[in-house]
Amino acid sequence: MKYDVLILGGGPAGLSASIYTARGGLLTLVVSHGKTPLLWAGSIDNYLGFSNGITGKELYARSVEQAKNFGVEFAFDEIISIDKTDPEIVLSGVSGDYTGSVLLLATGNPPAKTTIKNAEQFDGKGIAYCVTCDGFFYKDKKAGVLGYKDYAIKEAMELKNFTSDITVYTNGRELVLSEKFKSHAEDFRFEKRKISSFEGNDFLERIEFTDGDTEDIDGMFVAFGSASSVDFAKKTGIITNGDYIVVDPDQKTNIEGIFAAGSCTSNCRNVNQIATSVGQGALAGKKMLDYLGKSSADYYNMRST
Amino acid sequence: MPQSELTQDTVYDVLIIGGGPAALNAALYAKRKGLQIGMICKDFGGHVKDTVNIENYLGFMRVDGYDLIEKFKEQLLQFECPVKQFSEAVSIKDGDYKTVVTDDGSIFKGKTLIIASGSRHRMLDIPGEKELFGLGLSYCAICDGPLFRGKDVIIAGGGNSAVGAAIDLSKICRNIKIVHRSKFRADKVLLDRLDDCINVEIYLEHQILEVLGKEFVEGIKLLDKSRSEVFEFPSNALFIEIGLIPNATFAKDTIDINEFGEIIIDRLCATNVPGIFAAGDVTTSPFKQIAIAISEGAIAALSANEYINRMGL
Repeated sequence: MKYDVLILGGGPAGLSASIYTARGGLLTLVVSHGKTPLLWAGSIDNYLGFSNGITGKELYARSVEQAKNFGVEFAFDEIISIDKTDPEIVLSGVSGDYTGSVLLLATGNPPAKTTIKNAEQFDGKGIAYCVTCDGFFYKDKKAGVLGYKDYAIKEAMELKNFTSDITVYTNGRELVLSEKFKSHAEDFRFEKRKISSFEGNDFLERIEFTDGDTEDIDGMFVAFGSASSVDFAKKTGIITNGDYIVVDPDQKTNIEGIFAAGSCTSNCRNVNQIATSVGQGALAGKKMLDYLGKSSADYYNMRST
Repeated sequence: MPQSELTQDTVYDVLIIGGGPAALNAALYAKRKGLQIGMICKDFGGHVKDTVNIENYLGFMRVDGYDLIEKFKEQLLQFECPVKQFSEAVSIKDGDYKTVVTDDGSIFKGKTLIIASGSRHRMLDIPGEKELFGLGLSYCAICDGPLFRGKDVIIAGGGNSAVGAAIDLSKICRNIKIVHRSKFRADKVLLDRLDDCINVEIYLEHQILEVLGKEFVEGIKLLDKSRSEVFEFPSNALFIEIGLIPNATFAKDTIDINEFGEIIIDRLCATNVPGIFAAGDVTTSPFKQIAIAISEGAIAALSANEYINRMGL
């Protein structure tokens, strides 16, 4: 099954975009982990149209129903990787693969960086966030991956191209792996103790655990929790600005066929509102329609009927 | 919204020109920041209030435009919003504060200005168009279509608004001819629905040359471009749905405007003049959509707030 449009992320930006592409006749799939922060919003008073406020849960339910009404399909899955093999884009998830012609990244706010002591100090000097981008620097060295889910195993597997000395550090967490990744996990050494700090001089040299032990290391790839849009962006070659995806005024990234909208983009940095995400999603949806040739970019005839 | 009259001797934090979704969301966001605002508008709702079914604004499966605007206004009820209604801006000026002159000669002052004056309907510019306006010729099929129940009507245009209008009128009118000078540019979902309307005839590559009629619309004269033939269709009404022109003429001497007459804005809705912002259909943003207008209204208000703070106004 090949979709016209894949939308990664089920928050306001992704849902708004899906309504536009589906109404335009494009086969649209929204892939999300189903945990948009919208769901935790108590009462939303600043989204126009709900004068008595609306809970995030209710706005989410209404929006999903609206999207389904136009034929938008939903997959609840955790995406591990994005592969762009022209003319297709494939999202690989824990439960399945999803193929489409265009992709919208709308996964919301960038995840918090690791708060382990000195992580920032060694950022780019032993601490890294993307094996595809930086794995080469740790050729035949002692490397680690910080994480406990499929995404960490995925990163570790990729790291095998560069070195055989790989440890996965769960930082006190138990492993949470799908069947698909359990067998791959056997290739790696695991260290489950909690880490208290990263140590070294100019570069990272060792890890200190909370029990006082230390362990030498050359490089640590952070892959804690799930991969974010920004993680994917870096691997796919999409230009980022810090933790934000850089998009042009048409919500396009630098990679052909990949768009981004909402709070994962640099556009939303200063103004991060439901209204702005919905607007960016609508714009991205229209632009994806244009991109696939389903409607011309008619300057004057765009009204909301 | 509790409306008091806008006064000429107050310097408002934010003066907002317009009354559509962009203006109303700018007002909401500015009020939530505790700013003193004033609004200048012809009426509330802009094009939205004339739209019957809106189904692409997130959170509303299907809503009547008039109802949606009422909901928007309701949300501003808790805030004091002085309004100069039934009024249009004729010019704006930059200076120690920004000034707006309205069509009755009043002068209003603001520390910042948000232009959200929307757009108006594009005309065909053909003989008979001006003369027969309101006499069977209309730019809003959705507003005036019901007046022609059981009659034969013609719709000019090939975009979303024209096709949407044809679908809506197919339930009301006897026969609908949709005439467009080139190919359709509407969304597929609408064209599919149009296919199901048995009383709609489609004439693409046909150009309307003249509106016929003395006291009332009686028909149109048109050119079949593929065969270079001129002929006539009798009709009780002509609905012209060929797009929109931005309402920005009053601002053109003060701020930068593009070749389409749209106000040029950056990502934070700033124009080339510090302290003057713009949002919605009147701007360079390519799609005239409620979702986009609302997004820009919020951004313009937050940018205005930041400008006031930064300049210590």
